[in-house]
Amino acid sequence: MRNVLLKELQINLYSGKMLTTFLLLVTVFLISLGMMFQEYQQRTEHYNLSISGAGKDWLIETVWSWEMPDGGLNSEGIGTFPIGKVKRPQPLSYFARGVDLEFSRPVEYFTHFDHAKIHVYPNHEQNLFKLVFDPPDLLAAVTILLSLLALLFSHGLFSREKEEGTLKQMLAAGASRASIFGGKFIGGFLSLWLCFTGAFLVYALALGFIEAQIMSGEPAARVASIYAACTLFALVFYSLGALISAFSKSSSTSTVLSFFLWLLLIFIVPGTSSMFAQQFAPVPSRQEVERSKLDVFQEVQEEYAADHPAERPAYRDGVEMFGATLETVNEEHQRIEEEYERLQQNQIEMTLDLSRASPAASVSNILSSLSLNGLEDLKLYKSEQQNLLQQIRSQLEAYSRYLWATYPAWARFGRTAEEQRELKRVFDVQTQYEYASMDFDTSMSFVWLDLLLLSIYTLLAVAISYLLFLRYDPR
Amino acid sequence: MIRTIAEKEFFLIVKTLRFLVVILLCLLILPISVWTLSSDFNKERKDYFGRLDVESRNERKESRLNLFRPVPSLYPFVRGIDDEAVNCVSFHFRSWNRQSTESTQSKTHMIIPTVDMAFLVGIVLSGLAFLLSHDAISGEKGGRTLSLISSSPAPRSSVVIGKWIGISAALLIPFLLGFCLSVLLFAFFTGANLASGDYLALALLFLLSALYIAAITIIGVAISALTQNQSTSLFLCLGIWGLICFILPQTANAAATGLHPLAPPHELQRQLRVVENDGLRRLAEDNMQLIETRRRNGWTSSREYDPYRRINYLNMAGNNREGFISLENQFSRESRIQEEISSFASLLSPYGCFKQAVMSLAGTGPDSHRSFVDEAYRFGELYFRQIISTWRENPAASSEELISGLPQFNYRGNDLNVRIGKATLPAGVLVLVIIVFIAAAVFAFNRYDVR
Repeated sequence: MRNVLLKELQINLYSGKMLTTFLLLVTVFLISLGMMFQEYQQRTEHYNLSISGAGKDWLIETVWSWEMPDGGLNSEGIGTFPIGKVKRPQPLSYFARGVDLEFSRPVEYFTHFDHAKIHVYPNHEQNLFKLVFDPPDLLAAVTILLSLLALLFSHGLFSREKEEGTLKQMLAAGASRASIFGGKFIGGFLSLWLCFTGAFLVYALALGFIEAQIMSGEPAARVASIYAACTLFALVFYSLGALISAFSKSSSTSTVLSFFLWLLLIFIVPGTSSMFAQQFAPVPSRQEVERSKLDVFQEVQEEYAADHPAERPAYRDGVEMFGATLETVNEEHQRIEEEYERLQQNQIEMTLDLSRASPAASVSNILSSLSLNGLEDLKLYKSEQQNLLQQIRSQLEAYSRYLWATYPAWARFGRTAEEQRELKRVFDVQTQYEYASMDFDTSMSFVWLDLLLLSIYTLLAVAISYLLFLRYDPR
Repeated sequence: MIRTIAEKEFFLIVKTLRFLVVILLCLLILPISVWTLSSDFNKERKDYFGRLDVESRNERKESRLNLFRPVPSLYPFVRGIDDEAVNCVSFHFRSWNRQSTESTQSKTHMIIPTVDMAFLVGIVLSGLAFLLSHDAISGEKGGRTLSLISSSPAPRSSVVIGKWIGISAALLIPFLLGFCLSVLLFAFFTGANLASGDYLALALLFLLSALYIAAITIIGVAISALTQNQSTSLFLCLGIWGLICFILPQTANAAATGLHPLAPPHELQRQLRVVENDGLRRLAEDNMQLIETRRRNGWTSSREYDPYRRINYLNMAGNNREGFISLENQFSRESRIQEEISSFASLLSPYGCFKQAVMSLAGTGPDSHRSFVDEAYRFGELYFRQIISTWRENPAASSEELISGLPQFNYRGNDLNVRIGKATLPAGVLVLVIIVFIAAAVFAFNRYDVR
C-alpha cells in the first residue's frame, strides 16, 4: 500500500498537477482576499460613520406652543430620530459573507406613542450591480473550485487504470485490492490536501497580515475549524469522485458523471431546496401580517365603541379609546408577530434541512456560522435590535418624565443646558450599545450536525467505492 | 457540407450520457424552478394589490404617500435583484423620502442561492456547453480521425462551424422544449395576466439564452482547436468557465469601486437628517417670531394666527423637499457612475453580458429598479409641490380639496422597447464574441498540421 501511495503522490507531483492546483488555489484565494478586503474596508468605514453620527443627527424640537383654556401652556414638538449604529464588521467575513449584507443596512429605531418600531433601509444608494455579482469570499472559492479540483483528482483514480489496463498488471503483480484502493485513495487525497493546505496557509498569513486579530484567541480557533471543515468538504467530493471512478469503466464516462454530480450538488440541490421549502412551509407575506394587525386594531376599537356608544364621536373620546384599547391591541400584535416569526423560522429550518442533501450547503452553513455571519447570527441580531429599541424607549420615557417634571421650562422654545444633557443620554444609548456575537461553543453547537453529515457522506462514499472496486472483474 | 457535419455532431452527442444530463436539466429542473417561482410571483402580486388597497384607504394623503412597484411579469424566469431592491417609496409631507424593500423571501438565499432560468443557463448550461465542446476538435486529434476529416473535400472552416452548430443544437433543442414547457406552466399558474409584450419578451429571453450558449460553445470549440489533447482542453475550458462566471463579473465591481468610490449608506441618511433638522429649527424660530407678532397685535383667536403658522410650516416643508431632492440626486448620480463602470466592465465576460441583458429584458435588473425610483420621485415631488401650491393659495383648504385633481401613480415598469434597447448592447457584445471566436477557431484549426 505504501508503494502505491508513494507512486500516486509521485505521479501527481511530477505531472505538474499538484503545482498547477496549488497555484490555481493560491491565485483564486488571493483574488477573493483582495475583493473582500475592499468590501471589508467599506464596511468598517460605514461602521465608524454610524458611531460618529449616532448622537448628532437627530432632534426633538418644540415648534409651537399655545395657551390652554385653563391658562397653562401646551407645546407641540416634532423631530427626527437618528440612524442607528450598524453591527461591527467581523474580520471573519473574509471567509464567509453569509448574511453580512443585512448587518450593514442603516437602521432607524423610532417610537411613536406606545409603538416602538425598527425601519431597515435598503442599501439603495449603493452600486446595485453588487447585488448581481457578489464579491467571492473564501467559501465561494472552496465550494466551487475546491470541490471541482477534488473531483478532478479522483474521477480517474480507478477508471483510468482500468482503461489503460494497468490495474490488471497491478493485480497480477500480487498487490491486494485493499492496498491498491487504500494506496491510490490516500495518495491522491494527500496530493490534494497538500495543495489546499499550502494555499490556505498563504491565505491565512496574508489575512493575518491585514487583520492581525484573527491570528489569536477565539478567532484563531474559528479559523482552524474553518480549515478543518474545508478539508472534510474536499474529502467528501474526493470520495464521491473515487466512487464514480470505481463505478465507471472509462475515464470519459467518469468525467461526465463527475461534472454532472458536481453541478447537481453545488448548484441544483441547494438552489431548489428553498423553492421546495416555500411550497411546503409557506410564510405569510409582510403585507398580510400588517393587514392582520390592522384588522385586529379595527376589531378591538369597534368592540370598545360598541361597549361605549354614548361617548362617541368626540376627538377626546377617540384618544381615550386609543388609550383603553392599546394594551389589548399590543398583545394581539405581539401574538401575530410571534406567529409570523415561528413560520419564518420553520421555513428557514426546512430549507436548511433539505439543502443538507448537498455537502455544499452543509459547508456553507458551517463556514457562515463560524464566521459569525450565519442565519442564527441574524436571528440574534434581530433580537439585539429589539433590546436596543427597548433601551431607547425607556430612555425616551425617562426624558419625557424629566420634561414633565420641569414643565414650565419645557413650554418655551429651545432647550436648556440640563435638557440637552438629558437628551445626550438618550443619544448615548445607541453609540455605546454593542451588539452581542455568539461565542465559539454556541457557533459550534449549530454546525455539529453538518460536520456529522459530511463525515457520513465521506464514509458512505468510501465504503461503496471500495465495494465497487472489489466487484471489478479484470477479465 | 456544414449541415452534414452539424447533423453528424448533433446525433453523436444525442447518443451520449452527456445529452441525458442536458435533457434532465432542461426538462426537469428548469420547469420546476419556473413553477415554484410562479407561486412566489402570485404571492408578491397579491401583496402588491393588498398594499394598493391599504394605500387607497389612506386618510392622510395630503401628508403621506406610498408608491409601490409591481413585481415584473417575467420574475419567475429571471429573479435579478428583485428580492433585494426597493419596491416601495414612501413620502412624508415635511419629512425625508423613505425607500424600503418588502419581500416575502426569507434570508436563506443569502447563504444558499436559489435557482432561476438565468442561473441555470448562465452557470449550469454554460458549464455543460464547455463539457460538450471541449473535445470537438481535440477529441478528433486524439482519436486520430482528424486526418480522415482533413482528407475529405470539406473546408476546415465548415468543420468548425458545423461542429459548433451541431453542439449548440444539442444544447438548444432540449432547452427549447424545457423553455416551452416552462412558459406553459408559467401561463397556467399565473393566470391570464400576461400581455402580448410579455410573450415577445419571453421569446427574446430564449433568443438571448441561445446567443449566450452559442457564444460559450464557440469559445469551447476554439479552445479545442487550439489544444492537442482532450484533458488539456478540458482543464482550459473549466478554467475559462470559472473566469467568465465567477471572477470577471465580480472583478468588474471591484474595479468600479476602486475607480469611483462611494460614501457609505449612512452618509446620505445622516445628511438628510441634517437638512430636516435645520428646517425644524428654522420653523421653531419662525413660530417664535409669530408668537411675538401675536402678542404685539393682540390676536386671541386661532383663526387669526393659524394661517401664518401654516405658512411657516409650508415654507419648512418646501425647503426640506428641495434639500432632500438635491442631496438624493447628488448621491444617486455618484452611485450611477459606479454602476455604469460596473456595467461596462462586466461586459468583458459573456456571463456578465447575458445576465445584464436578461435582467434588462425581464425588468428585474438595476436599471429597472432605478427607473422605478426615478419615476416615484418625480411623481412624489410633483404631488407635494401641487399640494403646497394649493395650500399657499388657500390656507383653509380641506384635505379633500388639497388632493383633488392630483394624478394617480400607476407604474407598470419600463416599456418593452426601452427594455430591448437596454439589452441591445450586451447582446451585441455576445454576437461580437461569437464572430471573434469563430475566426479564432478557424484560424487555430487551419494552423493544425495533420502530419
